Amino acid sequence: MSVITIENLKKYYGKNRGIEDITLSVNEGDIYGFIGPNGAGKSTTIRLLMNFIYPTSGSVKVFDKDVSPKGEIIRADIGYLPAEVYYYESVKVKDLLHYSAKLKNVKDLKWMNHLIELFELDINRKFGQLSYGNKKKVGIIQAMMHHPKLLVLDEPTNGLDPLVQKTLLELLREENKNGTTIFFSSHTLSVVQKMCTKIGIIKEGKMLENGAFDGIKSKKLKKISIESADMIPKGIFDSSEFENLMIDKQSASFYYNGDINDLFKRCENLPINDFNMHEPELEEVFMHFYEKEDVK
Amino acid sequence: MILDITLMEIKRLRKNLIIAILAPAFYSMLIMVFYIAFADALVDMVGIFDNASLQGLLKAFSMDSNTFSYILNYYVAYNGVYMLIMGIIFASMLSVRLFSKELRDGTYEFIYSNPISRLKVFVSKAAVIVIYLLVLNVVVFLVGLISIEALKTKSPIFPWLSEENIEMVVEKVDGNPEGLKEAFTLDESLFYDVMYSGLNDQFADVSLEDSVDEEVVSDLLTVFLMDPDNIFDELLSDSKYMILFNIKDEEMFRTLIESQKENYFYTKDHFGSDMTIVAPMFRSAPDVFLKQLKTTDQIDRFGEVFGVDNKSLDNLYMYYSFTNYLKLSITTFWVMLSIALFIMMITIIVPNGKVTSGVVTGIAMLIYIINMTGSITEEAKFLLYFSPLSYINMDVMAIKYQTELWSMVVMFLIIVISLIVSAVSFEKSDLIA
Repeated sequence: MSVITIENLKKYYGKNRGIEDITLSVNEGDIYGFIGPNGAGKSTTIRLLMNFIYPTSGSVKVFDKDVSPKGEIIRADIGYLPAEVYYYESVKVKDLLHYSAKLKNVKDLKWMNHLIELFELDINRKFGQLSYGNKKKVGIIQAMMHHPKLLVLDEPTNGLDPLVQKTLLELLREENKNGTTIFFSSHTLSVVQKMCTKIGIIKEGKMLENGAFDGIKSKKLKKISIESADMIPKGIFDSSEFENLMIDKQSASFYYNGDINDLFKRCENLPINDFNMHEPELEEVFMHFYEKEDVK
Repeated sequence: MILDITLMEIKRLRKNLIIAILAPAFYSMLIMVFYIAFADALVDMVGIFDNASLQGLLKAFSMDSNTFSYILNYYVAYNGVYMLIMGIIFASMLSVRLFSKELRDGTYEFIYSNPISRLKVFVSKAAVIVIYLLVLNVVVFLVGLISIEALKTKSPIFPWLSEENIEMVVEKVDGNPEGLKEAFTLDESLFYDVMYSGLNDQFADVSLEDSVDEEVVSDLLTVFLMDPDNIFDELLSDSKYMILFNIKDEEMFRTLIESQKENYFYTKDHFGSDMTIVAPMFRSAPDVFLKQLKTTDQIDRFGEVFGVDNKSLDNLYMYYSFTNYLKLSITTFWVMLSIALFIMMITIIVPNGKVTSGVVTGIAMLIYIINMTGSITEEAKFLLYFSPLSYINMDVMAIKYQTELWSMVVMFLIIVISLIVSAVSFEKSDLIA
């Protein structure tokens, strides 16, 4: 069953582009990663999905119902976490959560209280006194307290420390097992790699990809930069495993998707001062991969 | 669910709301306390109106020299418009907090991600404004009432000349005409006042006719105020007055005036002694007689002489009319509500939450300036139609005090239209800053 169906969606803010042409679908049980650089239109798409704004053209359906006339009914089964959580600063967290529970018609507060304990949230403080990460926790509990059939999460792991991230991802996986469909946008490749069954890539308001994630998953892509004491000889990294290669005298940077031992063998005779290896930003990778498609 | 949202809005804005209620209430109380000092000064000021032509002017507006010192007049003069402006500005800032600032701060996502329609959210938020204005007006009404009750004895007493009261008084006096001697000071001044009132009544209808120049009537009344006994010589001195009596023949006019003159002086001579002459005069102008009594002693003696019980006496002589005060307060609430909801509509229809507190304060001040300009000059009077502030009837001592029906209808329409336009715009607009 299709949970989200977006067709030829277009949104302009006056003369400014929000999104140009978005078509995507998310099925029941999917964990859908929505990826794109800043300004690509991720938030606009999510706002349209939540019916905060109205489309210029195209349609957004959730649970096979159009979101704009049926928003009230649909939102009963959606949990939404905004990228930046702004709630009423002068109100205690406890009151905000109970208020949410009333609006969502949640009678049994056991699950909500369990989430509060799980995230170790101090609910007796005013929302304005919380740190960025703790504000996010309030948002997460707000989004999940009513066991929604669909979770819409805008940058869910952003600003959370690794331990809390881990807790959240475990929780999401568990909810997904219980049948919750998850739609989220993220910048972090490892999160998308670990979580997603499906991805959508958006650039400049248009869809570049909408489908299974297997092709990307198999690539163990690393971003590597090397500082050497000597000049780095040209040709040393000439192979298909190296992409986006940049050599400038004593330093080099590239994406690598081969065996790490092979890389070390190639560098055997090179006196290395500094070696830096990390996971690349997700869009960096995708933008690199889809540059050619973008040209057409 | 609507109630939950309303309560949360009140909770998160509680500090603003408390200030917005206490500030006007405190202002009102302070102004009323000043009445202690002002009351005496106002009574002194009344001396200015001893000048005959100014008295004519006052009477033309059916006021007397006490009009400015009655406590309720003071209340309206110093509280009326300022209280309105304050209430409107606070309510408008509340609209900004409820609608446009929520967009700018991004807090709207909190409510709208829940299963609730925008219409319900709108109704809950608009209810906060209505509740605020209700509470504000009740508090201000009570503060005013308590202050007026505490200070009213500083105010001159006012004979409340309703039809029932006049009927009651005339009946009592008819039963004991001789009592007039005891209850009132039947001096020259009272006689002149009664005569003036008679002249006024006599010419009130005449001056409405197109053929009569209003100046002729006012000239005559001014002459009377300067030197009453001279009025008949004045009438005979100029043929322009003939038209007032609708007589063309000069000889007939002269005969009429001569007989009236004789009548006038006979009445004047017997005013203090012959109650068969005074009693009919009382019947024709009871208000003039009753206004002579200003102290509680005089009023008590009047009650004793004519056997009027204390309760009827309290209804007859009052410091202020509670009914008028109540009507004034209700109209004030309506005016505040209509302008506040109108400004709320502006905060909603302007997209992206661009309307700030500065903007709404500016709009409120603009309405105030329109009102001021319209009140000052005759040419700009039409401006008053655009300022509901002017819809308040300031004549709070009038027996039949009411707000004109058309202005109530206009305010009602403003309220309904503002609510409908706001709701539709709120439903259809993009929630984004």
